[in-house]
Amino acid sequence: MVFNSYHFLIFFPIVIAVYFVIPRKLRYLWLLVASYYFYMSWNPRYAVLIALSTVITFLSGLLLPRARGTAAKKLVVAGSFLTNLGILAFFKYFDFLLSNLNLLLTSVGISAIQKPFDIILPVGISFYTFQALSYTVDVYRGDIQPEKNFFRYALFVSFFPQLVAGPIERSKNLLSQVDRVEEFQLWDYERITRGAVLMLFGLFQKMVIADRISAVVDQVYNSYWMYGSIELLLATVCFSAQIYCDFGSYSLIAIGAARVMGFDLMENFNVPYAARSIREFWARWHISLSSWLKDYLYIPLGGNRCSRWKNYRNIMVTFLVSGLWHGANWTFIVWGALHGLYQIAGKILGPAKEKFNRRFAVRTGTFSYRLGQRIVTFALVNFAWIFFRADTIRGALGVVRRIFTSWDPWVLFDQSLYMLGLDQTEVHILLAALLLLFLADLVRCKKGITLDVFLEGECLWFRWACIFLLFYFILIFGIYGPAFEAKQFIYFQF
Amino acid sequence: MRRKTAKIIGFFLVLALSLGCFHRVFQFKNTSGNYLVTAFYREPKNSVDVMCFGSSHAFANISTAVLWEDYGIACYELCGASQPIWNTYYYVKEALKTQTPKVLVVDVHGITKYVDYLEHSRIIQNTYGLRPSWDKVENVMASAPKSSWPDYLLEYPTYHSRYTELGRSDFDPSALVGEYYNDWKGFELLTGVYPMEKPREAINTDREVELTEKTEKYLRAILELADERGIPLLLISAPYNLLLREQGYYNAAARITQEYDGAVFLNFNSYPMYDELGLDFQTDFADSIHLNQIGTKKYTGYLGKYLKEHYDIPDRRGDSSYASYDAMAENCAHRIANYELQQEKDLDGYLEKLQEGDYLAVYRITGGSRETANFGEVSEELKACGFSVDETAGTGVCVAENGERLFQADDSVAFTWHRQTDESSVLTVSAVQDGGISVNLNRTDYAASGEGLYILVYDLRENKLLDSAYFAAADGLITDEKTAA
Repeated sequence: MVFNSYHFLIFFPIVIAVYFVIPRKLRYLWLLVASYYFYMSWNPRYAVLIALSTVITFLSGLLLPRARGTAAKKLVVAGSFLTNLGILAFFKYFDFLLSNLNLLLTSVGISAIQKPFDIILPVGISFYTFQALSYTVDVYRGDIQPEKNFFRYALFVSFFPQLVAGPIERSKNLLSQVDRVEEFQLWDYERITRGAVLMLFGLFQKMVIADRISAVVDQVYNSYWMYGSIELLLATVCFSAQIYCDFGSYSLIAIGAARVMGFDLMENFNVPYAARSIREFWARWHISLSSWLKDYLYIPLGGNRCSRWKNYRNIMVTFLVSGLWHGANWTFIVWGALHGLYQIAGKILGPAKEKFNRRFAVRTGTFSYRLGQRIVTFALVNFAWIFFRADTIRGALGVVRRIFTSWDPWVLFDQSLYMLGLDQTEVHILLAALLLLFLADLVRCKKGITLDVFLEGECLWFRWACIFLLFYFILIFGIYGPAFEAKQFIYFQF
Repeated sequence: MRRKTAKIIGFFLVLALSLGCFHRVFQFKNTSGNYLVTAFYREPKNSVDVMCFGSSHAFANISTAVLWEDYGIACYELCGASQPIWNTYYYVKEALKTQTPKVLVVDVHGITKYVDYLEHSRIIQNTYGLRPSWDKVENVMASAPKSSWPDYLLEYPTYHSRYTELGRSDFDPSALVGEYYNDWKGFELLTGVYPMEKPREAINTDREVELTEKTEKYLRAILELADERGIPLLLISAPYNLLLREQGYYNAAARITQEYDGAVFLNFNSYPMYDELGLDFQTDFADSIHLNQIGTKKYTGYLGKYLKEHYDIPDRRGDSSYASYDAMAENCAHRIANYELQQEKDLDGYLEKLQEGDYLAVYRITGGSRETANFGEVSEELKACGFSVDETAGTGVCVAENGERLFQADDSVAFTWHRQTDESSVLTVSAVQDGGISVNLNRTDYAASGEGLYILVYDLRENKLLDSAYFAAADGLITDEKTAA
């Protein structure tokens, strides 16, 4: 059940209606039932895995206070990690590991191992596994008290708005809200409308922009050898918009849906392409994952409070894990490695850059300097996206090679760009939609507030005009209906 | 609290109103499907004596005008293009909610569909027109696979992408009505001639081909519905260039029909029937499956006679409450006259026909034409149309409505004349700077550039450009044979 489906269109109002009228004590149980129904709508068998992960981490929470000594506690944590990551590795990485092993075996003349069974990747397994593991670590660190009520804990792991594509919540934030769900004042006009506005804006990003722009990306990347520099560059920039709108929209809808129900989920995107460095980019992009990796991997490895080389190692390990988390393919590992290298290069070149700026009296406070930083960061991020989007390393290298060798500036003038999956009308709609997105992000940058907060502070006519504009943009220009199958959110596979 | 409640109510009111506007603009305005049903709902209750159903084999072959003019039968055709029999069943049900016809006529070409679901556009054509009801829901469920039900039931998902094709008729439905379906009682007259050979003799067979389970179910449902309501049912198969397999379906349908009292199946696809109708496959068809203005007259003439002889159908001619049928017959005659005018090649015949219809004509004769040997003769003929060529010099122009002159000028002086021909069409006639006269309709120049007589004909009844004719002046004569301008 994706957010932009009829199923969700019926499911969500029913969940809300019942949630608002049932006795307070039953709220969390109702949300748990709804969350499992939501998850099982993909495949009922998936429920077993999420239940298993829930039981293991719940038990780890109960055992940790009882464990005597650090070694025993570490054993409990290790047990929770090994079983959870074992499940994740099996379902997500088995095929990848086997194919690489076979590659190795066949290269030394040993026959390949036949795959004994087919594995279907359960939706959102990476998200809820990380969320559940954070609970084990938080209890181990003493940041939170272990949850005694299994069903409340089960709701924390499976809370449907953010279950399959994040934000990856922390027990400190979400579990504490689950514990207080009886106290929520549900009939709060401002909160509900703010949640609904976020959901609307999320649907706009997904259905009008992401699903429209994907036509360009798919056409060019699926036959990259037919296209030259300009078209490949354009498709790559389009992909950066697509993945932002696709993933960002999911987070927005998740946050909005949770807000309608009285929950506050953590922010996941904060105008990432306005970042002036790769380091800043990761403070704005997929914040819930990057902060998870920082808290539960980078810092435990030693963070930056260690030697320079160890720090570089820690950065590299963190980004390689991030890459692998995104998918079982070398393309994701290279993508992670590139971001790790960017960060290390930034650290190495940082002092030299400062020296250069001082030596040549570069005016670093100017708009043009900041713009230059944003352009360079955007270019680096886009270069890494090539590996993220390509199906294989060979394909990604093919794209890079053609970008540098197949110079074709005439396509800017001979209407070729209107033959990349979107005709002139569609391109105009896309540009108008991107302009709206740009304006919303500009408000975010300048005022530091999200669209829902901004609109809340505006006059009624302006607020309604914006809401109707978004609504009709979706209704008319959204990609849905016959000849269109609800495109899965890109991040569902992760 | 009260303020917030008012805000919420206000918001949803604006939303509902704007959604209504959105629906009106974006909904399909399909003249061979949805609009036929919309027009049907305007018929006064219990006013129709013969209800016809089916696909284009019904609505393009059975002339409501012939039934009215020759037999006084008040007939309405509630059909849809390429309509499968399951949609026909729900159309029959829908019609019986407001009408109590003396007889139901169903063309069963829909039983020849051997797939359970038709393509997207056909499903839309045959489901969207119905008013919201449980029957409409069932009609959609019968027409589309389960996975597509929400799309067709909500309708928005299927037509929101029409933003690429919106036109005037989407914002002004009267444009569509005026042009096409004003008082046609569901009939669509096809003109033109498509010569073809008679179907091969093998079609005269009794061999049956098994109907699909779904088709038989709905065929029987129609038969049972008519039986339940006690209304006689006439199943027909209009003549066309059919396949042997299709004849097999009709034979199966004929056998099934015999099981029901009060139902008759008339198959017009056999050599004896072709002979009885006097049908000529060389002249009577507009395309391979539909009759033209000649064919419909023969076919409907026979059908009307049969209806009169076998069922108790009153003659409604002269009844003032059936005036809309007179208008429909006039529309039909006008459409045939239009076709004949367009086909007319001879100048004399052309000018003569122009006098008879409801037309606005622009005549422009060039200065060079005055040197031709037959100029005087042509001038005389034009005078009868309202154009006094003698009163002009050089290139002259005249605009006349049904033979009455509205305006006349020549290019010796600068002038511009224009007229709003309907809500969105403007005709402009003006002298151009370097000599000559331009004839412009809706910002498009139509007049031929060469020497001779040019005529633009605008149909005032259907509000559209009907013809753009040119009689060139060459070899000292204004030719009397029309060429396209």
